[in-house]
Amino acid sequence: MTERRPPRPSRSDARVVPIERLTREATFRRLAELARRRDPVPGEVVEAVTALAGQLPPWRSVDDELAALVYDSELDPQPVAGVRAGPGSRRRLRFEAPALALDVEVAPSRPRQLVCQVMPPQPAVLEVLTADGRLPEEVDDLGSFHVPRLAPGPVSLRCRPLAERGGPVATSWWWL
Amino acid sequence: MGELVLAAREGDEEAWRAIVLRYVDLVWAVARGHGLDHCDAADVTQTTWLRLYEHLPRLRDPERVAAWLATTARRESLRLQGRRRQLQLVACFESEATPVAAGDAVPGLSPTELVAAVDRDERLWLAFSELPTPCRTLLRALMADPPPSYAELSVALGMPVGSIGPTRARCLDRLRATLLGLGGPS
Repeated sequence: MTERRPPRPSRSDARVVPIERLTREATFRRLAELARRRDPVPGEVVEAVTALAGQLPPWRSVDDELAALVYDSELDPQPVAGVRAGPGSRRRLRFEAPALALDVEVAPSRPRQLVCQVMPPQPAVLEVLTADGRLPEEVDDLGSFHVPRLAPGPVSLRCRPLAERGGPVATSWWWL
Repeated sequence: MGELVLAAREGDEEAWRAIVLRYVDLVWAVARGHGLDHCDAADVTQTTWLRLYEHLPRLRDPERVAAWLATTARRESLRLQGRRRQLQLVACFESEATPVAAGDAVPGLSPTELVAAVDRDERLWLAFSELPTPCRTLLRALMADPPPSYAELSVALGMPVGSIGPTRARCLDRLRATLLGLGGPS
């Protein structure tokens, strides 16, 4: 085996095992080494992910009912039944809880603009939770809300119906 | 790992950080193994960790967090695969992998040896990137640092544990056969 011999100055590539002589396991080890050097997870991504725990408020209150993301126009090409069609460039999402649903439209501007409709329409309070904290509550008789300025990042919407029945509902965190 | 998950659940930021540092490369490797570019892989990585963060209180088996992460990363990768990227979660880094810098291989190589080493590594990496998707997906995930266990990968990739070793060997042999076919300086 070439690699076990002492280096020979007369042969320039003696210490570099040629590709033809790499064993299966040596090939894998070399590839793994190349992956570490050439394809590491970007530091910025690691920072963003690491910071999640410090950035996001604690998990939603135990009293909140979770509204799950059931539709995201950027991930699902076909709208689900009942989601309103919006202008093409806008991202549309739907969150559903047993008691109510939230239809959300995001304008792709910076900062983001967000339109949120409680379904079925009803008097409600909306609270927007972001990595920077929570925005002041908004009240609307028809459950229709417009949030004009939001920085891109993790966001959760908390909606409290004003009817006597029905507790608060909070969406899962999603990236705006 | 289970204890770290429980601590993170209680709001321990250091525990969360430790989990991230241990498994972030696995999530990245799964996304990259699905052929996603840097931007999509960054999306998948962040989305996967956000899902874990919100799922923590309900994670049934904290010991299996690696399998959970790899499974979620695969699902998110498949959703994004082949679709035009529209999300911009954080600034996206367009630069693809940089070539191996001279001197990476073994310290103290002569200039001629360096050329040989860099050439070999380029061919190796190119041949790897041209493998069929199932081989690339499996091998890239196994190349994560630290590597996942076969049991964890079995859950994530939906492969029987017993078939991972043989498939890995077959994929590596295929890669070597391709390389030999490509020829090169002798």
